[in-house]
Amino acid sequence: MCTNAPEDVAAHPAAKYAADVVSLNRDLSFRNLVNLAKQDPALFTHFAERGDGLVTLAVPTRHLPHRYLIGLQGFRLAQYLQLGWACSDVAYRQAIFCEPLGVTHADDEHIITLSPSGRILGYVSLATNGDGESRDLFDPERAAFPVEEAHGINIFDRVAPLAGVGTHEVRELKRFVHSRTLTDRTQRLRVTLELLHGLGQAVVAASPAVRTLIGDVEEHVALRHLLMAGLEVQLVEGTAPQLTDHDLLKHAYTERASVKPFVSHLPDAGFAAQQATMLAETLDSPDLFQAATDMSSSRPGRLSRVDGERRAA
Amino acid sequence: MTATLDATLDIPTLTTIPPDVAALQQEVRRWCQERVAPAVRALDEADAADFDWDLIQEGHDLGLTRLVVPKQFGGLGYGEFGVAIALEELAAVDAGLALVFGATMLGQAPVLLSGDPRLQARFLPLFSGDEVVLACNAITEDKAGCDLLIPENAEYAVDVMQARREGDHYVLNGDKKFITNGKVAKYGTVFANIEGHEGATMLTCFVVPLDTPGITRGAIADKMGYRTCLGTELHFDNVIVPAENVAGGEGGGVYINVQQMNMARAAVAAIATGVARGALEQAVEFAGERIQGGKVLWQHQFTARKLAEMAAKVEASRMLYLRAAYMADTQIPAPVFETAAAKLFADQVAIEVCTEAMSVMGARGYLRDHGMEKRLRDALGSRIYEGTPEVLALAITESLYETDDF
Amino acid sequence: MPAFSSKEQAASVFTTLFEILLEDDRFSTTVRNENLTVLFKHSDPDMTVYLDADGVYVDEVPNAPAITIQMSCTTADALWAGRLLMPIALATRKIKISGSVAKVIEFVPMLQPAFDRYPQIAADAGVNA
Repeated sequence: MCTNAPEDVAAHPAAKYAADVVSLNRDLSFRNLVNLAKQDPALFTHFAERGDGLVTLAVPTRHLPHRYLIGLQGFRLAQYLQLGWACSDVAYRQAIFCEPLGVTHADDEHIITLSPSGRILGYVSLATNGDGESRDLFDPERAAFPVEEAHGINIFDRVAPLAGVGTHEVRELKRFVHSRTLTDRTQRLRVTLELLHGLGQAVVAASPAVRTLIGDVEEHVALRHLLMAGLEVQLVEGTAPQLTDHDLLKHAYTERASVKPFVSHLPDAGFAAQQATMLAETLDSPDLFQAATDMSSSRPGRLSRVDGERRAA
Repeated sequence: MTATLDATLDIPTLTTIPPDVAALQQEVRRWCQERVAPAVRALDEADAADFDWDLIQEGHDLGLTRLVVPKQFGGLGYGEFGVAIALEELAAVDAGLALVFGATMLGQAPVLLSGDPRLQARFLPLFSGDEVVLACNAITEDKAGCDLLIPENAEYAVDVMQARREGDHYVLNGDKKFITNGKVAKYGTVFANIEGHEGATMLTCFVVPLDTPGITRGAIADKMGYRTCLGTELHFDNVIVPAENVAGGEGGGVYINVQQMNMARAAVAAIATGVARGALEQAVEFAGERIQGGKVLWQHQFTARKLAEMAAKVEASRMLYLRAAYMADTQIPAPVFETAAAKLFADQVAIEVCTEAMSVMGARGYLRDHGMEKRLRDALGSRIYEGTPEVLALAITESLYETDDF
Repeated sequence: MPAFSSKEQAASVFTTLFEILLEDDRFSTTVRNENLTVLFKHSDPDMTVYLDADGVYVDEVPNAPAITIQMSCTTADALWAGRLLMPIALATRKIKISGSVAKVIEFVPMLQPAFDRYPQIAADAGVNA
């Protein structure tokens, strides 16, 4: 049984364990990541220190000291446990205290916003599929992206890829999460925008250039962040998640409203840089909510839907 | 083993320190020279209740609080060998500082030894963040010290802290004394006897967050030496501890203790060796500069003899603890004879070398200004924890007459 | 009284147990990535059970083990059944382990699936009958 409700904690060992894991990760802070970024900026894809003492940085897995990677994976799990999207039973049975490290690849980018004391306030990752060399998106030997594994599809069977794009030009947006301690609306919006800005900078810095973003989203939650960032999103309908009872994150697909894969082709090479500039200007505005509204209006994202049928070859 | 010692010594690491351990040694030595040495006198003369969090934070940043924590939990994954070498470096400058980190490792050991993956997952990653976290190991009580460490003495232990099972938790009542890091630790491994059982015959190890309601951190001992670390009383008044916080099962406490102690003695011997080495280095420096009778002190035969014997003892002490640490890293249960012998010898060497070093320095050895008297005070403290000479003698002698089961 | 009635019974039970363990993703991935090789040296009856990423071998040791665990078959039965806890078994010298202690400390918690399944395996094989 998977339950994180407070009244269940006393009754169920798995719920107690999950509560302890959440508490453990809440106690951890990583302020030296900021010092590391200042001492060795070449290792970091993005670094921004703005008002309120928030710091947002982007760093690839291969430049992240091992204990910080554990910390990030722990933050991810802790938020998902609190949201009810991670299974406390699986976590308990396997003594899991952070998301498995094996799902991360060397070139995955981790975008993190930290409080002045070094606590993680928000996180999103820009994941690769781990292919050593770029492969054709229809190559049966290529590694699947996490969204493809979860839904049991080749996402490009549903949405045509851009011509000439291989796996190294595709990135998956994953784990867009805020700390559950973030209750202030303004701070929450600021963290969202910082993460989007960091994400944009990570896309700009990627080599080869990122041409397509994929992932999966709950329509009424994370999708609006993508649209706010001005992305043209093609939502794939009619897929069924393929996770088993042993999967730690099975509830991410059963406890939420329908989670759908998406594809977003970036219009041109300068798009990400333009959006990142707009996000930076928005973050510098005195009225964050108005500025965010204005930004969304100036270049709104667009949503279209793709049915679940495979395209003809 | 029998009374005839096994002459086979297959210990490659006594001649070659693995690169990762060598790197750790260098980094700790550098930090001690640059940051700790200038602060030693202030640390020693500070009030008994003072604790230099800034310096301890630097040690945490270096990784000294997570040396033995496995890498899968964000630790550095060193064994006793690496830990012992690091602690020698620390103790050569300040033994109390070495014990802050040593005591934290003693608080991690029962969690590691429990083999309980969920217990490990809930506590060991605590040390992987950037904010310093310390632990403590709470065994000693007012009327029970060695009786909680020697299985054969368990039935004679008096007024031992009690634990009562109630459903899914235990209730702890009692007091602990002289607990290093007790004042500053986030959690402690606390040993209590299950109610209804004699003495300490069902001693059980509990992992207890020290902000649990009912726990009071009491008076701090005003010690002769080791003043950088704090030795505190801990009072437990109907403290509720979840059943899943038991390490090693009900009644497993004495066994956890024995295993932990046999492992730790190698590292503790390293601390005493470090104290001796620090005194030797200071005496060597002094005797190389001080001129009497037209030549430097060390060229006078009597002084040379003293320095030679001091150096030989420090070297021998180091060889013993390295061997013991290597064996503790390659067999479970940890060896009894080698670790106890290493500590017994190192404790004696620390006192002898500090005493002679003080003599070499003459009046300056006796003055606070020069730090040698502090080293002697620290050397006297090394004999007390993880086995007094009397306890060690029993352990060593028993092992001379024991036959291996395998 | 010995837990096992024959060497064949003991070999069958332990082989089944470790093959189940190797089916656990976390265990098998760690064993393979760490190149872990474990040798169980049992007595009464005398036999060895060797385990690596490729499988389980009885009375055969394909490679030098990184960890060697010595115990009687009866002690093994009590340990896997949960009647004897590892810390107590070690401290009372019913079990002796040689090899990297760091690897042992990492290895032991991963045995949880074996502890969960052993009682049924033993019952099915008629152990302690």
